[in-house]
Amino acid sequence: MDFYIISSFINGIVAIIFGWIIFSKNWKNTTNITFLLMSISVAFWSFSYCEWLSMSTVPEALFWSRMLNLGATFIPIFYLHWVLSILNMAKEKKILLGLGYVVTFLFAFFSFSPLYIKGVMEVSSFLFWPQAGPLYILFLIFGYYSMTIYGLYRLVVARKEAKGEKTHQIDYVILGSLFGFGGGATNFPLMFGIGFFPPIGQPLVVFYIIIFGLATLKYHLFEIKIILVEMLTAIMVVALTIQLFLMPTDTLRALVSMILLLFLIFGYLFIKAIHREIEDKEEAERISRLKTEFISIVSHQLRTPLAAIRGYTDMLKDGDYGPFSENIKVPVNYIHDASVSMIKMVNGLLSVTRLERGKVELKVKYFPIGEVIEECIKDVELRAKEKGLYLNYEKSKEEVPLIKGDPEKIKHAIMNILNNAILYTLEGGVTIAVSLIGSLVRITIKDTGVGIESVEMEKIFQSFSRGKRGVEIYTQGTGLGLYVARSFISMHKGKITVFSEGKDKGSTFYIDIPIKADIVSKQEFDLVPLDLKK
Amino acid sequence: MKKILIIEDEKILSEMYKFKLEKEGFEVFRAMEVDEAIEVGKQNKPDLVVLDILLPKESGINYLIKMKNIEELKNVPVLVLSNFDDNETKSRSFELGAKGYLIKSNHDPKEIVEKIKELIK
Repeated sequence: MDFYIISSFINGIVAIIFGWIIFSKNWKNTTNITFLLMSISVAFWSFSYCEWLSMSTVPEALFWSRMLNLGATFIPIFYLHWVLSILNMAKEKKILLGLGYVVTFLFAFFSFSPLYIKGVMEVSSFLFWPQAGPLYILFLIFGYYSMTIYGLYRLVVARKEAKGEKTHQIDYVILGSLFGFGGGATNFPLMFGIGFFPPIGQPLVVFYIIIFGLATLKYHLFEIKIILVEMLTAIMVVALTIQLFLMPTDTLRALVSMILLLFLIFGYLFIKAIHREIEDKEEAERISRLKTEFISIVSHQLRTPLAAIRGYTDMLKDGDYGPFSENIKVPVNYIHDASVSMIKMVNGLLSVTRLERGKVELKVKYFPIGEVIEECIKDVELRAKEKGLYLNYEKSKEEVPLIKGDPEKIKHAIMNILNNAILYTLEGGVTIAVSLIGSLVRITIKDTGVGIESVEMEKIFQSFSRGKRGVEIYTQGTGLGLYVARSFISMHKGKITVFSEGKDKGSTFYIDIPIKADIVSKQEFDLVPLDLKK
Repeated sequence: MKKILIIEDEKILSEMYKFKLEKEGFEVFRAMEVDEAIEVGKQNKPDLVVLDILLPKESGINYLIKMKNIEELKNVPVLVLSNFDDNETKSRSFELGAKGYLIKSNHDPKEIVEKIKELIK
């Protein structure tokens, strides 16, 4: 008997603490309000359960058994309301919920009549177990089972469509529902005189409220930490307060009071510090998200006027609008070239925002790396020639097998390095070589350009970061090319390394890509809001 | 004379493409949104459609869906010319039958004309 009293007491305490913690996080949110109401019902049921089991006379036991069932009557509807509000369906299903509340209040109205609980009887090892009346059978059908099964059904349907964190949240709610309602249901057979099935599920109810609490808070690790700290503090405060009243002397009472006071102060400061830490983290995440969204929207919006500037100046240059004097040709060329560099900057920014949002997908297939390199060379050979630079291609002596990866992304990475090599080489030239190193393909891009100082070797791969000599030669770079290149190669489980003997001594970039990397095509898309333009 | 239908709501750009294409000997029609484009298309039976994605009222993707049920347009090749370069829009466009996909800002008008000529062949 004591076992059931203790487990019910724990259920009640945990329900109250969790309900309050979650409600206090956001007391205006329906999810949190319905969670509190559900917790209060569970606590009401649990504490009445303790009282009922402690009673020694029939009238007292009957009163408390009706009280506990009054609490139990409200649990299914608050549960259903809470589940629907988690799934953002509460408004859509408001008629159903309204009907649920009406039915629940009807049952509650009759909870002290013999129609609901007939009386108490001796069954199994219990002296005063409540006896179900005809209305109670209706409650089990239309309240307990209908509402919980419907809630579970909604959860399972939503689970199929959910993504990421929401999936975990729903998993927890389903698990909690099975613990709670499964455990709670073990109380029912005895109400119909079925004595061989004791209420063994009763202690499981405690898990239900804990699991729901975690699910409500979206399963954030930080928030679990805070719940544990707050719970521990609350339990300690309760324990110390009880201790305070049990102390035999004033001295001991003063001592315990001091400890309690210190505990309250430190507990408060500790909880406050954790709250601050979470708020700071959330704020940093929010700013970072806003920054990427802002860059993405601005970049898309910039493309339209840039396309117009580029297009019209190109047509002017081509004489589509008729001939014009030589001295106008020069500024028109400048405007065209400036728009093209700005477009490149915008493209770079968009690549970076996609990378930072994890929205870049690989279209994986087997492809010959040689062909990709030849395309890259074709794209830059005119520029190399115009600058008077040589452009050599040293093919691998061994046969290179097909590579598993996304040829467009690999080409993008090679092009970013190759473009830099030509841009930052004033005399001499660039050599591209392909070789096999075990299970890796190595693409070497070696130039006789401005070189990189050793302190800058790592820095140049960071976003918006450029080498000192590079800035001197070409002021308009964004410092994104190598960052994007390294990100794309990393997505292929490969790496880019750089070697330079220093200033004006050229640079060599090594791109190492596994021939058969363990990568797959992702079906994640960059969803830019479609009302961007409107 | 080959006929091109440009579906583009940015006047500054549609003027530019129209000018360039006419200079290259094409006959050009324009529309600013999907339903208007279908009407213009039905009347003029273009040889190729240049389609923007971000349009007022509904997305250019809807043109690709709707044209399938229109006798005069269902076999007309479409070149998507958009500033969106996300993979979803690209894949969706090709799935729905687009023959090409270019980012407006990444190409000079003459390159776009070259692509159009290639698709019309």
